[in-house]
Amino acid sequence: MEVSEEDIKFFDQYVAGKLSEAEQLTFEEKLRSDETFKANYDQYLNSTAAIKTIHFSNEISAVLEEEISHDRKTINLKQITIGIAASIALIIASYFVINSGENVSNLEIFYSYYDAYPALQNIRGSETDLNKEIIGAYSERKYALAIRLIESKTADKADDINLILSISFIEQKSYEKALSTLGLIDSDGLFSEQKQWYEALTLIALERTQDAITILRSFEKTHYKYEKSQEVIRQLNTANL
Amino acid sequence: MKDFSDKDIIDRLQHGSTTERNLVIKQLYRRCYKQINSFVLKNNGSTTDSQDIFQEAMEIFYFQIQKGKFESKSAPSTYLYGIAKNIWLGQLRKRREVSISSWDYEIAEETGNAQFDLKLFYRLFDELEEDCQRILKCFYFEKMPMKQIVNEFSSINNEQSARTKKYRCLKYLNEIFQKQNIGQENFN
Repeated sequence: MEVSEEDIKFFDQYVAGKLSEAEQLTFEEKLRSDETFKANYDQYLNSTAAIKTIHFSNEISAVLEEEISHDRKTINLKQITIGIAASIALIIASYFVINSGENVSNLEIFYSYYDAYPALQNIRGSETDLNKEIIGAYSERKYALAIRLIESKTADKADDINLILSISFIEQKSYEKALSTLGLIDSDGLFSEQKQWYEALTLIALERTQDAITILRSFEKTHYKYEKSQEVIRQLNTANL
Repeated sequence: MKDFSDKDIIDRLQHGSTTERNLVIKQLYRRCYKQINSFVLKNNGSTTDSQDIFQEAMEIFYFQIQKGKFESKSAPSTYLYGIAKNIWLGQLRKRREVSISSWDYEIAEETGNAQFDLKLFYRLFDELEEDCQRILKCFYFEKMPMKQIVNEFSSINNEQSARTKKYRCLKYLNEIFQKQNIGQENFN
């Protein structure tokens, strides 16, 4: 049976603890004796708990992001201390070693050329609160939050959203997920060049050098990263001799 | 910062301010995350998976508290870890990387096999018009008094109109949930 406005008001007051002791007893008695009232109350609890949880979810993401970033800084500080010791050891070692011209690794090449794609000013349907939150999270480099928000959207995502999602995955070092998300971007669409560039870089991070080179070689001369692509090909060829 | 007691954790999540809720999330993160991460890493997962699992477990925990369904005899951190473990084992099971026999029944039984799909909630909630989403958020999540809600909405002139609007929006949300067969059985 349809729930009345009066019942909703009654539920609100009961949950907020605003009923007198006598009213509270009446309410609880009605819950026991009136099945429809009980069913409406349970549905009310479901819906209101869902509303609260949707919004609480954003609070969790924000705190989680903050805590993870705090943990990373702590780890980095430890690594710097270890790094200083390691550097001293390296200087001593290099004194004895003839410069062998050792090649750089794929990861070093990746880090030399990778930059997160700049935050988009707007995305398709950006007037909605959720899209604004996605842009906000991404531009503040809260990538885990951006991923959570994007994944809460429907399965059918526009190319701009998939690009943001891919970069967020790369930032989280989830390269496989980044690659499969990049695969969803239209190869002839507005973001086709970004798709190619980040696919190549992700493949480099995954040590799939030949696949990366194949993509980089396919860049047209007008591609916004054409010059860089040629440099990367040279470096990859040298590194993997 | 002094830690909240188990009772305070539940109380703050149920009735606390944003600041109090955030402190509770931090405390639970510091108590449970390492354990969750270690479990996920040992079972074919990554750190990103652990973060997702922690998030999802917190959502389920919060949802159960809001529904008044949290009656565990365990500490919230133990309970949260139990939920996280269930979620991850459930995901592995879907990927056929683990058999049901390897479930940790002790924790699984206590926390229940909570099926909670926040993505579905988002999608259904998105079907409401924007004013409806806002008024429900203001009243139920931010616990804003009607008087303040009237000031927030240019289209609402008085408290009675605000109450009626909120009622219609909630009724509509109930109907959407019912159409999708979202009822008791989905969110126990």
